[in-house]
Amino acid sequence: MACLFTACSETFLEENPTTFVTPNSLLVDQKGADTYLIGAYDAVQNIIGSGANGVDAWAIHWGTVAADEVVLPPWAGDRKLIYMHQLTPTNNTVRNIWENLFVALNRVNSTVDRIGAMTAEQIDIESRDRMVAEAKFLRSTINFALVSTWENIPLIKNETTSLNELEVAQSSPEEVYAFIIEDLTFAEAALEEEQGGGRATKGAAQALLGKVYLQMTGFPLNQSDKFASAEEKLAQVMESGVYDLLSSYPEVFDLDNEQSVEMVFSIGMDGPGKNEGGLLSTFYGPNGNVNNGGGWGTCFINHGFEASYDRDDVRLLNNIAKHNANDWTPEEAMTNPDARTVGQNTWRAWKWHADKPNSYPNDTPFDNPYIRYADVLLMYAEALNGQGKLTQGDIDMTVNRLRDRARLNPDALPAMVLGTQDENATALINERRHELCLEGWRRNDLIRFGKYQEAISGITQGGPNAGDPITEFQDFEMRWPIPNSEIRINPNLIQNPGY
Amino acid sequence: MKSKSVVNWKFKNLLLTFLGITSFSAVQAQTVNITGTVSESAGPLIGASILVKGPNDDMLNGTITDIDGEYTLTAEATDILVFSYIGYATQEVAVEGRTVIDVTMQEDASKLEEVVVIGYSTAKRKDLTGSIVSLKSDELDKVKPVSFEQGLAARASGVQVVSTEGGPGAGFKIRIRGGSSINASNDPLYVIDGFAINGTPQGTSVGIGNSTTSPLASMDPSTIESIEVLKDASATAIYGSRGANGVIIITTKSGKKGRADLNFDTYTSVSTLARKIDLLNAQEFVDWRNEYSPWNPDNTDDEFISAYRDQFGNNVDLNNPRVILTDWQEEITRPAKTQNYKMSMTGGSDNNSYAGSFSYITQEGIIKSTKFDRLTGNLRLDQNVTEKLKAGVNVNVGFTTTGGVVSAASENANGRSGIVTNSVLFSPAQGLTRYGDAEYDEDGRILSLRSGDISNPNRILQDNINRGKSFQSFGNVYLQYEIANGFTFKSSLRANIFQSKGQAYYSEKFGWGRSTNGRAFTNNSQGTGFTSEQNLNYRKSFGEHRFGLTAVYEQQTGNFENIIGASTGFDLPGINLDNLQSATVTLPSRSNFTDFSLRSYLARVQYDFTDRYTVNFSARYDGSSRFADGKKWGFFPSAGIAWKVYNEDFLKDNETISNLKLRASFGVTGNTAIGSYRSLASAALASTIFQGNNISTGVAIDRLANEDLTWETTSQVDVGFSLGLFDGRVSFEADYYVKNTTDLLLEVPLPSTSGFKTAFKNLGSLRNSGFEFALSTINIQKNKFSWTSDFNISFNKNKVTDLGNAEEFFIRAIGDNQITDDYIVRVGEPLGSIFGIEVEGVYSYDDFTAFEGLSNAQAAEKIYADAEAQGIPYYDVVYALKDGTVVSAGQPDASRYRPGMPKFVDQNNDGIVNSDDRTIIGNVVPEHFGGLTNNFSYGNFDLSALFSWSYGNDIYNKNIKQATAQAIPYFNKYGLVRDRWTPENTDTDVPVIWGDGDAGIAGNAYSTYVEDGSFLRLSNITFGYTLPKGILSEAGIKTVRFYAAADNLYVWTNYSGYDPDVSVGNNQLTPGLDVDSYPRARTFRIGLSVGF
Repeated sequence: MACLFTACSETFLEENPTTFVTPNSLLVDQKGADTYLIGAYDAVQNIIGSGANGVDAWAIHWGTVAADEVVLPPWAGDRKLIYMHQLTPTNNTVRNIWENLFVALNRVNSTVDRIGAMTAEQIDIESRDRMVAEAKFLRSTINFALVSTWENIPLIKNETTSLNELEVAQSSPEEVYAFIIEDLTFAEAALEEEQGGGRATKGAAQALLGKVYLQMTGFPLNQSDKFASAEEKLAQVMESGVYDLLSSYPEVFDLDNEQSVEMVFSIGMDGPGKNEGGLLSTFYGPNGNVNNGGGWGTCFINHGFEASYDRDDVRLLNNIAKHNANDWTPEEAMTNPDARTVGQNTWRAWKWHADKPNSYPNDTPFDNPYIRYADVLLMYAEALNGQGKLTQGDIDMTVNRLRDRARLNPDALPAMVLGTQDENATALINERRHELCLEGWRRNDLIRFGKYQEAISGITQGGPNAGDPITEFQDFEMRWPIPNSEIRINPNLIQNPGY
Repeated sequence: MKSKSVVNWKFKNLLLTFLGITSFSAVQAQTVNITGTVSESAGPLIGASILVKGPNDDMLNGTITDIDGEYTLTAEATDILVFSYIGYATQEVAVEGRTVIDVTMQEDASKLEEVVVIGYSTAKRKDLTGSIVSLKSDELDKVKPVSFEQGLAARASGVQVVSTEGGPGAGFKIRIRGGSSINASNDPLYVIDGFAINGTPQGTSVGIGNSTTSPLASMDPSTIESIEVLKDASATAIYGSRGANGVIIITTKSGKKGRADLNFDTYTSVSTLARKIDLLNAQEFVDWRNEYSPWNPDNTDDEFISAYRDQFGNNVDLNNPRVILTDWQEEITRPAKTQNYKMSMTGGSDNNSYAGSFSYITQEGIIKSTKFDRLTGNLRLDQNVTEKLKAGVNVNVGFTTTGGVVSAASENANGRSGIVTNSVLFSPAQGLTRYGDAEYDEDGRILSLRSGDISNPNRILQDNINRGKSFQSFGNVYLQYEIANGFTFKSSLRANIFQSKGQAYYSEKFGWGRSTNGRAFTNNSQGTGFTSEQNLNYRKSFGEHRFGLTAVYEQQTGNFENIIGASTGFDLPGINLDNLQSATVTLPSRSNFTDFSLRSYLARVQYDFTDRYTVNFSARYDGSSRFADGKKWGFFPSAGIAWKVYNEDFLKDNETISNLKLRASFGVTGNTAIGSYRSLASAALASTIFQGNNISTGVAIDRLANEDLTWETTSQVDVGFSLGLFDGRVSFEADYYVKNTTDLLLEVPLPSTSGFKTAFKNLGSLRNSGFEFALSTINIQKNKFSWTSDFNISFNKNKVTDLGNAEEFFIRAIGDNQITDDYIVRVGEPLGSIFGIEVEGVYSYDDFTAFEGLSNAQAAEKIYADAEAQGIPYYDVVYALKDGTVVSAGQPDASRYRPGMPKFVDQNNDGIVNSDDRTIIGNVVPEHFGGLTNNFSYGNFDLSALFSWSYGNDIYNKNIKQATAQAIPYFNKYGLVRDRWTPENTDTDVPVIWGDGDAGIAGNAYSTYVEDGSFLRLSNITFGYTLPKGILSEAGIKTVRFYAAADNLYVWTNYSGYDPDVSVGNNQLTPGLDVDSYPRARTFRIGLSVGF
């Protein structure tokens, strides 16, 4: 009050906010570093997987919406255009995903740089390196999403600390992949061998390395020598003994098994009402009231996908809803054929089965699987097949373990039998679709196997007015356009060809 | 144009009456004693002077009126008495042998001697070099507005007052000469008895509401003595740092010397829904519904097909007792009562004065359960301690409560719509079947539809809660010491303390609240502000030179904090907000604290030579905490010049021109209104989940530091003139201005590869320019009858001239959550540009090869035949477009079109309409707006009428999206859907059923949501009667006035929503938005004022 009358101290115009911290004040000890690392996990929490209410996320849009598992209704907004391959550089969802991935990248970069710069007086060096390794794993998930989706992206290796010189140029996909491998190799070395409960571990880094190497064998790099590198890493995951399959497929997606031994890396979500929720049971979910366990009708099942299942594959029952949630509990829907009354045109995708009743509209508690052990097994088989050395024994300990688990009666779903390399590849990608559908990897898989265009052809089902995504499809649409808004303010960016 | 003809007509009238009153007669000379009373409309005038003018225009003797306004003097019967009083027109009355002469003084229309508050000082109107509008209490008192903004609306040129959502207690957007900023505030600075606050409406909502309230909502406008609106830079630069958007100075009433007044005011009003939105009625809804779900005798189990049909497929008879019919607009509204009471007391002696008042208003909203109550009290004391030392205190407190339900919601889907959207969309006829995803109450009535998306409006009114309380006080003490004659020092300390609490509950029974078994929100906020001002003032005349000097040191600090809580899971019926511990889930609280400080040095010099030439310089040096180190200080100079031509010799005795003044000014003002801490880097809380459900709280980088962040500056040139004719009976004021804002505090898009989407930078510029005209006339002034008019009109043009590295950026308005961008800020275009897809009607039979050569009747026949053959509704049959016909990205396959689908404009001519074809589809800036007031008085009767208008502005009626969505069978629609395309009804622009759903380009606004918002409104008519004095004086009563008034009596407009005066939400970049706005009321009042 005294300052009101006189021009007393020079601090009168200083700002000392108490509503937020600065990284400098936080990163002085291990506790602060822990806190800052959690910020990096939060950065990828919503954007990499299926997203959350109001957040357009990468995997759900790139991996599922733009592939052949679901069809989109007319009220789907920008998502419909993604599904229809009617993308232009002004598409808002594409813009949001680009922007959100780079915002997340900077946050993770900040964690890598700032924790990495801490000294031995501030923090135990081994702990520091483990934290940096976790952050580098998270950084790889972002860079992998970016390079998969846009191919030609700026490779940003450090936190942005100044408003100057923000007009970065693109790097080649080779450089981006090399950086991802460098990060994951660092992470693999510094992390523990364990199921991380949502944290990055050695197994997660190795599994992602395997996935990245495999992706490098396909479009656009086509480096077939990477099959061997993938095999090596995936074998290490399998040999670690940390991970295993659960005995029942539906249980994998239960709330009780969110961080089970099958989850090599699964992104933590919780809800409702904690600002930590996802939307796995509502974006995908049966007809009926959301609070009875229904979904929002955001997307519907592709009839061709449904038809590709063996009738007695438990994954058909688990992954496709033919009931109305108002009338049946999830358990009844899984077991009682009378529950499957809904017309073909309104079959819905369904993998995470919300209770009846429940209280989570767009705020669902289901963790978002990123790499499951089932995926590791399938990738391992793929890596072997890519090198032409897949054996029936390998198939039996990978693909056929999954089929054994999925079989509802002994006569159903025959085991996979070794065929030609091409036949094996076809069987493997179909198995991936049946096993991993809605987990966001379908488009990457199709591109890697060179089957993308084939897969999105001929989806002309009427319900509800799905439309045929192939109508105007051209090869360049394999990649997404770089958002116009971005090119406009950064003259150094070059639009992907065709757009 | 209407307004023009009014003026012409008025001028004619004026000339006639002018000629009529300039006659006089001579009477024989004889000395008489004359007594009488001099009064003005509010009562006797004390200290009015009366001079006796002899036959040769020589002044003989004089006197002044006493405490009762009475006088006595002697004069010859042939003399003329000259009555004068500052601020009132001088009157000359011939004695004509009378001994009692009572005079009622009229306010001086030329107002040249009127004292105007100009910020840190006062000036006479004649000495102003800038553009200032002044409204006095009598203008406000006559109309008795509930809020100060309503009193200001349409009365001041250059000042645009637009309602936000329009409910009781809702805020307003005030723009003085257009918006001068993009991301920093465009709201004027309010200065209440010297205390400066930003005029930004306060967000008052909790939960999903998006309403705002005025920062002055707790003020009773009848406590205001005067409102001065400072528009040009020579007037506003003295408030340098915050003057860029204009300054509104509010002075509250103080006591008058030598007179004690006690006044009691009351009124009662009834408001009714002024107009209803045109919706499908029950029968029309049933017709639409059954067209949507064609009869299929094989599928009678289908709840859609059988909902509104009997077992034979006939449309249900609406008299069927099983059909529940409801007109929801009728259902949710009511005639709403308002009662207002005010008691005030003023008085004073030679050495002190006092003014105190207490008022109470209780206002019902026309939507049931909505209300606004306000209690205010204020007290002002001034005391001459010694001859040189004066002191005073002034306290103003207000307490408001609001209640009801959410009207304007921040989102219009997922069960989070406001009451109005619910009442529009809820079906007017409840059908015969039960829907699977609806909820029903115990009586079988629909509680909510479509998984809780829309809820029964009656139940919302009954079970949801949205209420608020706020307390606001201003206090001010000063000491003033006269150092020497004309040289004073004044030290003031002012404080502002406010507190508010908002609470909302969304019922556990339906809609949004049901999913969590009830949701409760509470928001407590409070703030304080302190200002100290040390003011040196010097006024002196030396012969023909007059000086005024003001030098001020001022400091201001302020802070604001709030805490928001939310709880869900309420199991005890009827127990929620007042017992939060009954919630099963308490969500984390959020709190916030910000503060700011401002230090200023300022000075002003006024100089006048021979009362002909006036110059005015001011300078202010401001330091604000909100900017980066080393960039905190800004300098804001101004200069103004005026030439009082009427005092030049060649005009001095001109009988026509009584006032002619030319003015010019230039100055620089600033804007700091961006919130605190924006130059600093910050990190935000960022939490995640481990081990399935363990929440861990972390921190992540959130904002880049901007070490260069500094003042946004606006430079303004203003030229204008004031003209008075016929002794002030006509006064005219005109101004032209250009305002350039540079170094905009712009939230510029960054390349997001930086990890930041935007940053606050000083980049870009914006320009406002315009004309303002104000005309006041005394058309007729006779002893018993007078008629005066005030007219003002403003033209403002706004243009974004530079956005730094960007050409444009987009803004998403609240409301429907599917539309991603609906406003654009683009270089070369004005702010408030609506952005989207241009619709050019619907596809017609001519666009298809299949219908070639067919008449319309044959084409319709073909559609029905094809539908039957394919076993689908007629609106699902698709055909191929002719080659080269434009298609939409929503349906790129040209072979899957049908007539009646919406057709869009292919702006880039590439054959397909997609988001690249978005364009500006409307602009909310009016070409002109203004007001016209006419005041009549006849004897003891008075009548006033206020018209206001806005012309050439668009409204973005975002309600249309959901209310015309023909893909959703549950919801009722706007009446325009009546005219939808059908195979028979082809001459229409309204799409066929499912037309927008199938061919629409989702995520965009369409030009069909943009409507012309021009209107002319009869805003207020007030008719009053004042009892003759004779009756009252014996009872010791000074005045009694009865009045009857009507507000918002009629609006001429083509707008289809509730009211074109609308701008929902508090995002200044989405003006002119109508989402879920509150229905507007027409109000009838009767009132009584008694003065003792």
